[in-house]
Amino acid sequence: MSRTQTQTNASCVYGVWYSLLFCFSNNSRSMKVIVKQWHAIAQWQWDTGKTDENGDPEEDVCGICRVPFEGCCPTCKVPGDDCPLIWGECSHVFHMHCLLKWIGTAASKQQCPMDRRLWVTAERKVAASHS
Amino acid sequence: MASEALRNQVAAKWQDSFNRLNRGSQGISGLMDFSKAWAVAADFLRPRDLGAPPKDFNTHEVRGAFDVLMQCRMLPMLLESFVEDMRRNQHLITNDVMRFMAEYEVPTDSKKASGEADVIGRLVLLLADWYFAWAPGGELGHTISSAYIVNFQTHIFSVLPSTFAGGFKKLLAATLSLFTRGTTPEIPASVQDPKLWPSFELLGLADRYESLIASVCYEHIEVHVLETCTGKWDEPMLGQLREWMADKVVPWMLLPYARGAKTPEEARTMLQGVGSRFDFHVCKTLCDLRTKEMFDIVIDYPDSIPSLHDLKECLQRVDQRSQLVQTLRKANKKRLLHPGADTKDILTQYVSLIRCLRIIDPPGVLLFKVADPIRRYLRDRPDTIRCIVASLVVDGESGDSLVDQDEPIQPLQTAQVDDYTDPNWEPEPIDAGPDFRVNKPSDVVSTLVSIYDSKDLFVKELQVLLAQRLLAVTDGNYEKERRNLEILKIRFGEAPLQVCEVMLKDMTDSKRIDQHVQFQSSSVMHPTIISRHFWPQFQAAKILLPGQLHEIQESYAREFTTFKPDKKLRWLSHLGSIRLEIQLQDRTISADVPPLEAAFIELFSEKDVWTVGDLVARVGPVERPAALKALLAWVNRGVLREESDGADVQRFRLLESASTDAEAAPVRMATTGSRATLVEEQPTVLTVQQQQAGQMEVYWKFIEGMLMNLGGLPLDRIQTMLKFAPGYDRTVDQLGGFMDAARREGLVNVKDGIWRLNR
Amino acid sequence: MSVVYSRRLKKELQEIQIEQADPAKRAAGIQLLQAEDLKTWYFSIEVLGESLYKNEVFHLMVRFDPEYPFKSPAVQFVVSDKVKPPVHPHVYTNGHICASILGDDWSPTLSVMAICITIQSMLASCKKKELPEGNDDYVRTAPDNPKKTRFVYHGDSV
Repeated sequence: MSRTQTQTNASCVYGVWYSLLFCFSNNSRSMKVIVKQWHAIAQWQWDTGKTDENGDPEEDVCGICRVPFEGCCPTCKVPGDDCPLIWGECSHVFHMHCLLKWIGTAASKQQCPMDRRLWVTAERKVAASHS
Repeated sequence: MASEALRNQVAAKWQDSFNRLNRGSQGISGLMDFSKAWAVAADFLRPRDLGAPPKDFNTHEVRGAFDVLMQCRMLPMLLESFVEDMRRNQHLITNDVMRFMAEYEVPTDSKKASGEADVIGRLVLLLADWYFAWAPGGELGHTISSAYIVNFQTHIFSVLPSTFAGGFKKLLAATLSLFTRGTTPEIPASVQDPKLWPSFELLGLADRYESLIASVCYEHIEVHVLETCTGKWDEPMLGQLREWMADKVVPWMLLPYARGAKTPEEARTMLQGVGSRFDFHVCKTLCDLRTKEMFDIVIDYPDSIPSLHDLKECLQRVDQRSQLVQTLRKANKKRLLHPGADTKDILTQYVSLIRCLRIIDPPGVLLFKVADPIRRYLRDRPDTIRCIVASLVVDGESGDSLVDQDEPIQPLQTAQVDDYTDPNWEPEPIDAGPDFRVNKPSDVVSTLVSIYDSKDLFVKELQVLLAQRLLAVTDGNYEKERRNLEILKIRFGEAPLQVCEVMLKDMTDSKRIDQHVQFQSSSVMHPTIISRHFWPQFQAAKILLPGQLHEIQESYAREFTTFKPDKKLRWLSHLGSIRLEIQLQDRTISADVPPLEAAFIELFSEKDVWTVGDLVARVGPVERPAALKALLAWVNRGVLREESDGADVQRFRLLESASTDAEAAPVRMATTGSRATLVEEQPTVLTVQQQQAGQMEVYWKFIEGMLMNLGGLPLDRIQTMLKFAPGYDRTVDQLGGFMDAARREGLVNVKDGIWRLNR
Repeated sequence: MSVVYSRRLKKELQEIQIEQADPAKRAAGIQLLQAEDLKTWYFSIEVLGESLYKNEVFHLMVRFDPEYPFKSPAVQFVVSDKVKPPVHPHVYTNGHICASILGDDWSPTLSVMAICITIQSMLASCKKKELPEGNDDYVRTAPDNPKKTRFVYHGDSV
């Protein structure tokens, strides 16, 4: 009986009760690992909606400047929010600054550089991917 | 048969001689007078023994006699006879010389130099006595006295044995010591005799042994310089030496070199040439000494600055710059540039050397020549850049920075091209080689950085260092790093350090984001969120954290994405540190541990006993040594115990209660402790070296394709072609090292400098 | 103007050079001949396999202006004593090429290598070796730089 109870090893509501039990059951596990503080390291990544085989977001480059999305476009020095991405309705993604520069040229005819469809900036439906 | 004419001729000659001697006196009375005068004069001149009582001559009578002889034009005859007399009495002087020299040459250990000098001194004084005893007196005319001097000196020099020169030198040295050291009881009376130097003059010793006199003075100067200046670098010595010369040596120099000077001005003029020679010798001796000591003088910098100023002055007088270069290069090679020396120490010595030689030779020619081998050596050391970079980053605590804190922070300077329109332009010093580059007043940091052709390597290393330091910051205070970066930006320029700027921004952004996330949903986790492309590469060890650790990650990542909807977090799970509290049956343990250790102990809350293999299987790609190290850390904390049942499988058991295992634990800890040291500490951030090795593998494809398509290639051709590869920045030496490694692995072979693929 | 985007061109060059050194990655029949700066590059192009241009080698000159990649590069075949342009309905005898991707259909996501491959396949798919209509007129009046010409793209769009 004590065996199964200790194995649940759950919240400490019954902490006192458990510790009493442990006094009698030599074989049981009582160890509790409590995380007090955690200095972790992470990389941020744009959520382009595409994922690689590990389920991680795919590391991709901007088709215009050929710099990774997590880098910054050639006119910027700081990545991230300062050099954001822009999504098209056509699902193609670019550094915003690169795309705007392209759209700004007469030759672009306002088309997506990838599929030459008229560029329409997409509203990101972020909530959908993380429900 | 004599002819009449001949007979007449002889008769006329005889008559002529007779008339000359008789001087037209009555009968032969003139002849008689002459005969008497000859006897008086010859007796007056006859050399006698010193011991013999002096004869009492009537000056008037002697003068009269000489007058008669002069009238008869017989003085040359008299002189001849006098010289003959001297020759006949020479043995008297020879005896004395032999006696004294025998005494001088007696080989006794106890006899000191002063004693030897005394013997010679007494001999000289005695010879002077002989001289006076035999001297014919100046009133007899120049011819006689100079003939006397020549004959007397010739004789003396013919009987003085070769050993005399050595003794005479000792005597001279003793007289010089008398001037420089003052009177001491050791100095014998003969040396102090005021008649001594006039005697040298009389006997012609001063002229004959002129070079000996000079060498005595040179040697004395050398001894004095070595005695007073060796190892004494913290005060200027050259001035003191010159004072010593003026006060002590010059008065002595007056004796041999200002003989016959009537006025002080005259004496000064006479001393000018020799004085300058001796001053030169002082400089040369000091210069030799300092040159020999230079390596240690550099070590002692800045305490040794006065000696450097001395050396600078000496070098201006004595052209021994090339000796200095040679000696220093040799010393550096022997004492500095060897595998046993710390890179940090080499750099410190190099920096001191820069500062020292800049004092001695501001244009930097000496430095250029001496520094070259050091720079080449440093270039080949793997940790040189790291050492330099570490010293560039002000720590605040360690005061042993290479960089002088007082030195103004300035942009790196590169070797300039001569600007001939510069009004201050000066031609290069004559001993500057063709490859000498004027490194005008460039600062130490620029000089160090210029060891390498490109400063990119420094920027990379700075990035690695900054990454290590930033990730180690736990109190959220990056001000120190910010200050460091500002300083480095002044040195290296803004653009190359842009990545570092982003790194710092990541730190502050992380803090801000964390505040937000904590507000949304509080968490024990406070991550640093980095911009991947702006940080050094991290060792790829993607471990999977189990249990609650994974949940904490997931929950934080979710909250992050809520706050930043278009971004995701990708954990570098193996980095960072976790503060855990382990509650056990009879104790509670707190520890700050790396994630891998946390992951393992978390797994032990599932069950008590695990094999290493099972643990690793749960966490992911972890090297076995790293896994063992993590487990042993818990063993050392007394939380786990290693169990082995004779099988190869290593198992670890959780120690719920410390007391029950008290007997086993210490033993275990001892053995595992020793094993733990076998596991090497792995830096989490890849060093530039490791990154480079990794990159080289990328270039290998390139090289392989090249050699496959083009056949054999020499190294420099490979290098040229590799320059087309993206980001390739290796030197040809580094490439050589890599190719060599490839050869050892059997991938390529080299023959006559041509590299080929092994097929 | 957009000198900052020269990094993109440098990157392309490096990639091309890597590919050239690696037979597995190299685009067959296309070779970088010269790229001493970021202004003018030369390639050699031949059509491998069965085609009308078998055993013919052509040289391509690619010139970039500072607007690259927002503007297409000027691409033409080299005409010299040694190399001639291909006889092709879209290639004038002065080397100018009538191809939509070099004009109206240019996109900044295209690359130099993409252009080369397009031109190579334009040759490979040619059914009949003939000069473009009005070749002589065009050649007589054509500007030095083909980009100054307004082509009317006809036939199979490439």
